[in-house]
Amino acid sequence: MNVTATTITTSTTTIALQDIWNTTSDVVSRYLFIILNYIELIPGGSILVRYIKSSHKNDPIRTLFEIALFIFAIRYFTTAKYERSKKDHIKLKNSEIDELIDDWMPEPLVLDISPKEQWQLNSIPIVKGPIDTKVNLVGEEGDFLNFASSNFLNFGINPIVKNECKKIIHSNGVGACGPPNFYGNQDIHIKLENDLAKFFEVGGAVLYGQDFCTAGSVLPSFLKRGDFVIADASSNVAIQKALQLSRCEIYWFNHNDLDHLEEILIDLQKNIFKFEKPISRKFIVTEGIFANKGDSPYLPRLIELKKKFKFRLFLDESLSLGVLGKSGKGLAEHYNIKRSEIDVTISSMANSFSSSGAFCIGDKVMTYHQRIGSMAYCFSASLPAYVARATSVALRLLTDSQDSQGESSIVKKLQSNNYQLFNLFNKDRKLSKYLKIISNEISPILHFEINSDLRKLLNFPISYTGKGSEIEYKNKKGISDKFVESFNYENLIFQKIINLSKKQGILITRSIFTIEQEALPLIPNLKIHSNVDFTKDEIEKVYKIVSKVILDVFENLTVESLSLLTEEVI
Amino acid sequence: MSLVIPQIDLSGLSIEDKKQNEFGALTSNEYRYKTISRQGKPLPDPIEDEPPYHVLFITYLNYLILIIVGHIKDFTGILFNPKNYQDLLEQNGLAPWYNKFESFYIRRMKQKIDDCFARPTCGVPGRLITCIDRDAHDYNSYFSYPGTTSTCLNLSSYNYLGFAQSEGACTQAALEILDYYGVGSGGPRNVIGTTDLHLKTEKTIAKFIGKDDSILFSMGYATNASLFSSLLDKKSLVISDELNHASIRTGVRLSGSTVKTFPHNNMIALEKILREQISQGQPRSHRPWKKIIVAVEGLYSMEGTMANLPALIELRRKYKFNLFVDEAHSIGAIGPSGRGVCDYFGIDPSNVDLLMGTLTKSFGAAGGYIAGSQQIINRLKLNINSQNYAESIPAPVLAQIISSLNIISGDLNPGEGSERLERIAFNSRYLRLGLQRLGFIVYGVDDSPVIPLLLFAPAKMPAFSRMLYQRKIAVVVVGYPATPLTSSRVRLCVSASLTKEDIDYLLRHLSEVGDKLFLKFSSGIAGGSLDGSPPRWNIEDVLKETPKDCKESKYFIATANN
Repeated sequence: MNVTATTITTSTTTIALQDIWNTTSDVVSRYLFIILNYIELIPGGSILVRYIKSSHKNDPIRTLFEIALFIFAIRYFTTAKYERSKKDHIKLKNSEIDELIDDWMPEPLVLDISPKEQWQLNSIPIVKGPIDTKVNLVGEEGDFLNFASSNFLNFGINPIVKNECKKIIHSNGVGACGPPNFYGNQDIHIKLENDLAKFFEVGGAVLYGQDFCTAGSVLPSFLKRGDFVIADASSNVAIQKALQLSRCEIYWFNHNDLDHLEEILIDLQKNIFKFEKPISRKFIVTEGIFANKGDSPYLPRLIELKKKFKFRLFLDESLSLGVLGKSGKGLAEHYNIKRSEIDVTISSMANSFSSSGAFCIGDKVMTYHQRIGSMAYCFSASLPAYVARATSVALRLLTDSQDSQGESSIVKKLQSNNYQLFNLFNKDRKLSKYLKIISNEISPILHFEINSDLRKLLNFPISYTGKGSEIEYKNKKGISDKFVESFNYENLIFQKIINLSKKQGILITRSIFTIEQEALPLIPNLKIHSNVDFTKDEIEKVYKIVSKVILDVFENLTVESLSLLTEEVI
Repeated sequence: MSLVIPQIDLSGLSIEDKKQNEFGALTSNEYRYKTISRQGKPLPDPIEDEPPYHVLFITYLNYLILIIVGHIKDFTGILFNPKNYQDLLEQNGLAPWYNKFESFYIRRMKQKIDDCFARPTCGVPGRLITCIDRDAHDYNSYFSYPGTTSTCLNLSSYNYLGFAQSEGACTQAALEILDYYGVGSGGPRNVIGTTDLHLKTEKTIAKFIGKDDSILFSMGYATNASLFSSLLDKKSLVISDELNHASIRTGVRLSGSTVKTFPHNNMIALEKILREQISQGQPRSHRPWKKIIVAVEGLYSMEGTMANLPALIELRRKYKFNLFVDEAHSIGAIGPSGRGVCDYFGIDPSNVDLLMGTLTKSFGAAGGYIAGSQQIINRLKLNINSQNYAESIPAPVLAQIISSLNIISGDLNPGEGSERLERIAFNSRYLRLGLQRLGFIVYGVDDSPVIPLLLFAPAKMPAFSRMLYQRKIAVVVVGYPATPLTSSRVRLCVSASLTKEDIDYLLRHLSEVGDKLFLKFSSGIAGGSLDGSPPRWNIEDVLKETPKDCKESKYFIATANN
C-alpha cells in the first residue's frame, strides 16, 4: 500500500518537473542562440561558441549550472579577501556610525596611581652621586651601605676603568650615532667582541644596547614557527617575552627539575621528533643564576641531556658571569665545562661588568647570523664607545687578577663575601621561623621568601602569577585595574623591613616585578646583594641589623595588622 | 695584512683639526635658514616620482637573475660540494641555525655587497668619519685589514645636530660626571638605578618637549618594545602606519592587542579604519574597544616623510583615540626650535598623548624617552618592564643629554643651539633642492634631514656605495627587505656639522656618479623644476643658484602649491 502511494507521488512530481524542464530548455535555447550569434562577432568568439555548443548538448540545466559557476568564480576573485572573512560584519548606516562614534568613550590610557599604590613610587631610592658600596640618598642624612646594587665587582668606580673610559670619550665622544650595520661599528666595539670571544674561548660575540631586550631579540632570530623550546618554569620575564615573540612550541619543566625535563624530552622524542623531517631547531632555555630565585641548574646533566636529545642550550648568565668559576667565567667554569658546549650564552654587562648593555656569545655561525637576523642588533644604535671600553677593561682586570692556577683574586673575594653573607643568615635558626632562604650559597644575591606556613596563616596565595592566579584572571578578562591586595601587603612587609634597615644605615631591596607581565608563578622576595668591596665587618653589620629588623617586624605581624602597613610604610 | 681589525690611534691630530673634523665652522651667515612653523597647516600629499618603465624592468630583471643564479648555485653546490654548505645542513642530528630558504637572501644577495655594510669606523662620527679600510676576499666571506684608514665626509650617521663631538661643552660635562659618578649604573631604575641626575634629565626632557614629565630608557629600540604592553591588552586596538619602525611592531605584538595598519600617511584610509573599528567594536563580540592608539612616526627614516600631524590631531578630536608619535628621528632635527614635529607644525604637544624619542640621534647620547602627562608617566614608572628589569642609563650619557638639550634651548652657550638648528635646516634644503635640480628622484618633505635618493636596481647599491667611498664620502645604501623590492635607495642623513662647502663637494660627486650610473631620471613632478619639465641642471648652475633658492619655498614643488 505504502509502496504504491510513493510511486504515485513520484510520478506526479516527475510530470510537474517535465513541464518546467521543457519551458526552461525552450527559453535557454532561444536566448542562448541569440547571445551566441553576437559572441561570434567578437574575434576569437567562434572558439567560445563551439565550446558552449558542444557543452550544451541540449542539456539546459548543464548550461545554467556552468553559467552560475562562472558568475560565482568571477565574484569570488573580484571581492577582496578581507571582505570574504568578514562574516560578523554588521552593516550600519552612516548616521548610525556617527552615533556610535559619539557614544564611544575609551578608557583612560592608564589608571591613576591609587593611594594604596602610592608607596611604591615613594619608596624608589634616589641616589645622590655615584653608586658605590656606600651611597648617599636624596632627602636622607648620612651614607648608606649599599646592599642593593648588582655591580658585584664594583668596576664602575674603579679608577683604571674610569681613566680608560675618559680617554675614549676624549677620542670618540659619547654616542655612536648609528646602528652597527651603518657605520656605528667602531673599532672599540669590535675589540670588545674579540675580547669577549677570547675571554670565554668561543667563536664570536655580539653586543646589544640593553640587557632586558637581548633574550627577546636573540631567541626569536633562531626560533620560528614549528621549532621547539623547553624552558625552566621560573625563567625571568625577559625570556618569557622572548618566547612569546618566537612563535615556537613551548614546554615548561619544573624549576631546576632535570628529571622532569628528561621526561618531557623522552615524551617529545617518542611522539614528535622521531617522525620529524626535516628536523626542527630545538632549545633548552634556562639561567645561570635565576634572577627570581638565586639558585642555579646542575649544568653537567643539562649538557648531557641536550646532547642526548639533540637540543641546543640557551643560558642567561647575567648574574653568574664574573661571579662563578675560579676566574669568573660563569656557571660553565664552575662545573669545569667548556663554554663552547653551551650553544648560546647571553649576559648583561650592567651587573658584574658595571657598564651597560649586554652581549651574546657562541659559535661563529650563530653570531654571524644575529648580525642580520636579530632585531635589537639591526634596528638600534650601537652602545656608546666608552661603555664598550668599560667592559673590555673589566675583562682585562679580571684576567690580570688571575694567579698561576688561573684563580682570580677579585672573584675569589666576591665569592667569599657571598658565602659569608649566606652562611650568617642561613645558620640563624630564629629567622627560619619566618623567612626561608631560597638562593644558593654561590649566588651574589640572597633571596628570602616568607615561610609557606606563615604565608598560609597570613592568607597569601601560593603564587601571585601564573596559572590560577588573580592576575591571570584579570589579564584574561582584560580588567585594567591590576592591583592585587595581598600582593601589595606581602611587598609592604618587605618594604617595612627595608625602611627600618635604612634607618640604621643599610640599604637592601626586594624583588620588584611587574606582575601583570609575569606569566610564571612568583612570590615576592627580600633581597640582599653582595659586593666584592664589602669588608667582613660590613657583612657582619648587615646581618646583625637586618636580622634584628626582620624579627621585629615579623614578631608583631598578624593578619589584622596587615592593613596598617600602608600607613606605616608611607 | 691582518684579519683582526686594527685599533686606530687618532691622537696625532691637533685640537683645532679635530674640532674642524667633528664640526665644521660656519663659513658664512648666508648658509643658515630658520625653519618656518607651519602653524597648524597640514602637509599636502607628497608627490612621488615614478621611474621610467625601463628602470623598473631592469630592477626586476636584476632580482630575477640573482634569484635564479642563486638557486642554481645552491643546488649544485650542495650536491657537489657539501663541505662549503655545512652551515645549511643538518649536523649530528642538529638542525642548522638557519635553513637554506630563510638565509637565501642573506647569502645570495646581501653577502655579495657586504663590503658596503658595517664598515668599521673609529673616532667621532662627526662631520667626517674615519673608516678602517678593508679588503674583501672570496666574495666578502672574510676581510683583511691593511691597517690604513679613509676619512670620509659623513652622510651616514644620525648626527643631526652635530653633537657627536669629543671637544666642547657636552664632552666636558660627560667627562666631569664620569669622574664623579663612575661609568655604569647600579641596576634597574626601581631597584637602585635612579640617581638625582636621572630625575633631572627627565625633567629637562619634559620641559624641552612641553609635557608634564618623561621617563628614560637605556635603549631606543627597547623604549617602543616595552611601552605598549604596559598600556594595552587584548581588548585594545592599535592602528599603525604601515611603515612604522620594527620596534613599534615588536612592542605592539608583545602587548597582545589587535593591530590594523593603514597605508603610509593616508589619512582617508585611517579615518575609514577608525569609523569601521569604532562602530564595529571588537571582532565577534562587537563590544566597544577599550582603548585605541594610533601609532605614527614623526619623521620616517627610510622615506624622509613626516606624519601629517594637523590632520591626525583633527581626527583625534573627532574620534577620541590616543595618539602616539615616535620622534626618534625628528626630535632635535625638526622644527624652528628643534622640538620635533609638534614644533614644526605649530601644534601644542598636549594634543599628542605619547611622545617617544631617542637620545641616540640628535643628542649624540644613547637611549630613549617617553614624554606624556604626569598621570601616564607615574603609571609607567611603576609598571613598565624596563623600569623594573633593565639597567638604567649610565650617568655620563645623562650628562651628554642634559648639556645638549640645554644648548639647543639656549640655556647653555647661547647662540650655539640656534646656529646648529639653522645649519641643519639650510643643509637639508640645500642638498634636497640641489639633488632635485640635478635630476635625481628623492623622497620626503622639504625640511627633512633624511634624504632618500632612489637607485631602484639593486646592483646599483654596491656600485654607488663603492664609488662614493673612493671619493671619500660615506653613505648608507638600503634595499629590500628594509624598503620595497623595487626601490633600493641611498639614505643621506644631513648634519648641522657639515659646511656649505661640504655639500658642494658632495653634490659634485653625486652628480658625476649619477651620470655614470644613470640615476638622473626624475620627471620633474616632484620638484627641481618649476614648469614640470624634467630638471637636468648643470652642476655649476646648481651650486651657484641653489644656496639662495633653497631658502624660498616656491622652488619646492611639494609645498609651493600649498
